[in-house]
Amino acid sequence: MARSSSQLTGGEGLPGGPIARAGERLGERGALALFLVPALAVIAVAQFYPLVESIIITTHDWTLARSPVMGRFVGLDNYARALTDPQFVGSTGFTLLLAVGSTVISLAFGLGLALLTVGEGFHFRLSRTLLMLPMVIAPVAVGTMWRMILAARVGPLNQALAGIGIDGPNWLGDPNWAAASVIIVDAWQWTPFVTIVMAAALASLPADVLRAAEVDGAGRWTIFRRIVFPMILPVFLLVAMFRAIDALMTLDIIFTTTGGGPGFATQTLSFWIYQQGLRYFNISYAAAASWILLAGCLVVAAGFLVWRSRISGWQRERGA
Amino acid sequence: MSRSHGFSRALLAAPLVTFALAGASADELNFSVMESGTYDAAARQIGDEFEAATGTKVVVSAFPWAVLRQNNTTDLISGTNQYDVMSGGYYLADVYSYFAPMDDFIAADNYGDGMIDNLMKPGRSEFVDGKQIGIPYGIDAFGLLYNTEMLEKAGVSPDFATWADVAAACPKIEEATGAACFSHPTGNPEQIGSFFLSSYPGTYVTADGTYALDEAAAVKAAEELAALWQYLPEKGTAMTFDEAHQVFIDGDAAMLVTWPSFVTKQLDAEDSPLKGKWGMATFPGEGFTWLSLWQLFVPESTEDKDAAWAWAKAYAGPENATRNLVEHNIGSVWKATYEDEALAAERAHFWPALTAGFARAKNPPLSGEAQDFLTNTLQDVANGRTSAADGIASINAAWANIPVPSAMLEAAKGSGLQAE
Repeated sequence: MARSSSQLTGGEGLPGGPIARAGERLGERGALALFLVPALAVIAVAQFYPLVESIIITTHDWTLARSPVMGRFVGLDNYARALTDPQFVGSTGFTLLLAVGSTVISLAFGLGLALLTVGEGFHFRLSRTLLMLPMVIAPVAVGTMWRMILAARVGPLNQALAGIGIDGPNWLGDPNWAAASVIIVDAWQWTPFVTIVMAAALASLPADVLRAAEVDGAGRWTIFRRIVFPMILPVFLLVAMFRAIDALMTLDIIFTTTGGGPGFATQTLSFWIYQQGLRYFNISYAAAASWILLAGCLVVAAGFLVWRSRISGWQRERGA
Repeated sequence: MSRSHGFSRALLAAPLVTFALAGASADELNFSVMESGTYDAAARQIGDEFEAATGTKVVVSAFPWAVLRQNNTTDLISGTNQYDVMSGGYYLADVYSYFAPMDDFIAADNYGDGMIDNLMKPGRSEFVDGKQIGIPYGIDAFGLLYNTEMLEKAGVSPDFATWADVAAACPKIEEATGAACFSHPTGNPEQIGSFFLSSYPGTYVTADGTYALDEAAAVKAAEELAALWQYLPEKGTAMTFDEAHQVFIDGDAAMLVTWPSFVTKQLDAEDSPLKGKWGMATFPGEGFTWLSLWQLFVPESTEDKDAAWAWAKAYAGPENATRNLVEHNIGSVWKATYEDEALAAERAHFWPALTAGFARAKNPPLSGEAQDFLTNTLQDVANGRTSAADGIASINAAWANIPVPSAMLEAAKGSGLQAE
């Protein structure tokens, strides 16, 4: 039932009062718009202004260490410089590797753990609670903890591997193993997120459909492949999108485990931008690189959302 | 009771007299310093005495090196102005313009008289537009420490002229001892610079004032570095300071390349297996030994500069220098400390090489960004991710876009590291 503008403005209790009269003049749409003004003002000040300001900064030459005021206008030079900077290109390459590796691993393990722990019994709930632990630890603490675990000569992981006769690798000292280590640590921390969301998606599946498939003689793998996975696919893609975007912006784990090294081997784009902006204070250059990263994240997000929308549409058509 | 303890107790009375004359008037001073268990411990100790003598409380904010560097620069650039006196070194070059010149204070107190020769000169202490902004208080120079028994067993003399000589001796050492040739805190990426700076004999700044390495000499130095890296302990390319030191102490490496002040006290401890069995060699190479010269800086924004100067003198001055060395292993910048016969006898196994290192040591005239790029690239060369030639070419290409802070130009010129 539609509400009148007088109801919205509370004028009903005060017939003929100034608020009621103003509400009637504005109409329902106007009153609704009026209520949005404070929220829009906060968003404008807290989000749009910094974004616009940062775009302006990218078009100028500004290193804070040299001057507290913005330098000359340089147009798109900072963007062009970033796109041809070998450090930017190299960092982008590792960032993509990390994003793909960490996302794939966390999705695979997260879904697997969700399948194992979905259910309403105490032990299922306890398992899911315990599995959440890595996600609720601060990433800086996660990185510091793993740096100690992965210490090649004295760390507990290699000691344990030695105990069963395996010569553990030089986790953080070898460029290739360092890259693998960072991917593993990131996936370890965020697999629980996938598990929790996918467990919720699995729990919401209609039980009668699954039971009907069982009655028809379908095996577990067939049920998963033909019924369960297609039904949770929209949620799965949404989780994949969140994981991919999060992995594309990884900074804290890099900062605490490898510092981007050895050499430049594990330098992510976010870490490189952090260094440019907050360590060397090349503000305009870092801002331009941030916008490129943001654009990349938006493209990834858009890709996932389009994919998800097509699958949902296709599923609706089939359902109809 | 050891002689050093007796000596330090005798010194306790001296600082109180100095503080009483210092004339500090601020209620509180905020001081940023490295969290190392040495510099920060000395600051708290002297801070308490300073407060008792002057009424000015010194709030000591201690951070690990990288955090300290970040906090200092952010504090200055953002105008937060939290710290009245800061600890740092040449890597703060990007923000030198935020510091107050100290020349008037130095001249008024004739400060620096009795300091190690040329320490208050550009290229060692920090200057902006010819004015001194940094007051030295802790000195160290990279050292090559060796296990005397192991080198004797291998029949190797520790008098290495170059790092190529070290690399040439390494197979012999490893074969004779079964240990790694040397240990080094490889997990701290900036530390690799110690090898390069000492083996590269060229300049860092061109005649027209841009950063550049002499390509041929730099490639040769980087190749020496890569050759050396294969003689680290197994899986030893990401070791912390503590880990690298322990490898040497445990006899798993015959030599150790590190900052001596971080480890000498531990090596000479009563329970150390290396007590009486180690020495320090002259640091090899045709370049220069990396200098660590901790200095105190007073930001322009500090309201009570007289009080800041009083604290600087209390913390960095000669009165506390020997106690800081004995109790906290902070390298003294004052000549008198090294002229103390009892101390010199106790440290005869490493002081000659250490003090020779001080005389030859310099800071590279590099901004933080230029230095980070150099050392990260050298790590890539050492780990085989890139060749020495490609690595040096990439450094020169990146350095072409990194401006040389004016203070670094002065330093480069003053220390002979700018091409003519």
